[in-house]
Amino acid sequence: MYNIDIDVLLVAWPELIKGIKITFFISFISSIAAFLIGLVVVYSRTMGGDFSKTFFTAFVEFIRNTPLLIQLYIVYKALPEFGIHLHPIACGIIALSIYTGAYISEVLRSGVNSITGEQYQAARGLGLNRLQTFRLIIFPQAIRIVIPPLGSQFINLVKNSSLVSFIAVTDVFYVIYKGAVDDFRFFEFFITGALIYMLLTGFIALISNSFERHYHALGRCS
Amino acid sequence: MIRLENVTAYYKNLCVLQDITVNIAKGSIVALIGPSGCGKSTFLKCINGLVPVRSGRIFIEDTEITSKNTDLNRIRSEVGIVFQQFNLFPHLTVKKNITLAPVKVKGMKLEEAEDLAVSLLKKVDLLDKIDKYPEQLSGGQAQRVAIVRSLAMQPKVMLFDEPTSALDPQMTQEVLDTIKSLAKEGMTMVVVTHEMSFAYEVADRIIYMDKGRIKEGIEN
Ligand SMILES: Nc1ncnc2c1ncn2[C@@H]1O[C@H](COP(=O)(O)OP(=O)(O)OP(=O)(O)O)[C@@H](O)[C@H]1O
Ligand SMILES: [Mg+2]
Repeated sequence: MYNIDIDVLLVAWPELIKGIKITFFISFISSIAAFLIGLVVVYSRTMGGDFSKTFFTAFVEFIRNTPLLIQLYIVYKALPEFGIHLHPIACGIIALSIYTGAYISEVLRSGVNSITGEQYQAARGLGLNRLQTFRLIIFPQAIRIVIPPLGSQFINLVKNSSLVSFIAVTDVFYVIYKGAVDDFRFFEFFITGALIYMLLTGFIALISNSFERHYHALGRCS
Repeated sequence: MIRLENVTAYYKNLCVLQDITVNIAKGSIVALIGPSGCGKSTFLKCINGLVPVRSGRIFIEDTEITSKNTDLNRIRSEVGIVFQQFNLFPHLTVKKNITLAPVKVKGMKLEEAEDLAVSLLKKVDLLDKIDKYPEQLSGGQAQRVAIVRSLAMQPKVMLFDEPTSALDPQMTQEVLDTIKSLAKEGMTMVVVTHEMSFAYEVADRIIYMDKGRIKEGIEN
């Protein structure tokens, strides 16, 4: 019979808190950056000229079809070869933001594509320029439709952030892993780790649901 | 007021307008009639720059809108267009639908735009709908709001693309009455319509289109 040892967790608790803070920080900054990247990409792909359409399509395909871990290592190990030295946390944020941004742009694009061309023509017909049309007419309608899949992208981001432990960031996954192997207490640490990630992502699910309910209550989008 | 000189327009390889030359006088009302797919909607969209022309020139008053140097957004704000499907913005209230473009495009003050919205809505007898969303309106009400939305830009020209074909007869009458009252105020208008009686009653001139060409224009 396996004896669950809570003490090892209590001993590791201060380290765990530090790890949680780092994971939270990385996820928070990356979420914002990823959303902004997603916005720029979806605008360029749906409203931009031929060149930016091609460029950003290639960009999204490249990012989506290569492992995040390789992208992390490119930023962490390959950039220094070109004289660009960044803190590992910054490397993690950059890679995660770009990776998630590409996915977010796809989610947003499916929303934008579901808004009819007539809305676009009506807006342009009134004299709004492209950016205004996107910002005031297309995007507000599109975002309402894609809140649930958008929420999943942010949840994926938090979970994917555990990969930064590969590039020497002492995030919560790193602390858990280290605790587990140092103390030979796999069950305690990994279950605790799972619970911690569930807490962080649960927070996002709550936000996403409340947005959904907010727009549902408005309910003015056909 | 509106002058088209040898205008040709394409969608990819499909020739939709062929060598169109028309002159529409200020204050006149032109009804545009023709079979489905002959290019009527495209004709209107060319006039406010929503569809680019392949060759030829289009003038609104003395401004050539087909010239590279023309600010199309400004032209569009001077040429109102109303579509068959209303195309109100579903996420905005009636008031916001109306005030958005005057504020964002013309830089009008919000209070001023709201006053304008109120007075225009009063005219079409829809003031009670000002805080409603488009889905809460009937088809005829939605189309009248769409007309008001265009009028709020204080355009020099109004283009109507089959404004009543999505409506049942009673609502059709409401919308036609609104257009008629605009005609009385001297607005220059081009109306694509299947309502022949309306065309004969209101239009100064009826233009027939077929396969991207103008067949004939009848002085009414
Ligand atoms: N965005 C587009 N891309 C390609 N072809 C188009 C597009 N819009 C219209 N067409 C084609 O151009 C031709 C003219 O279309 P247009 O909409 O101007 O006709 P219409 O006279 O308004 O027809 P209807 O009475 O059915 O509204 C049609 O053959 C149509 O299929
Ligand atoms: Mg048409």
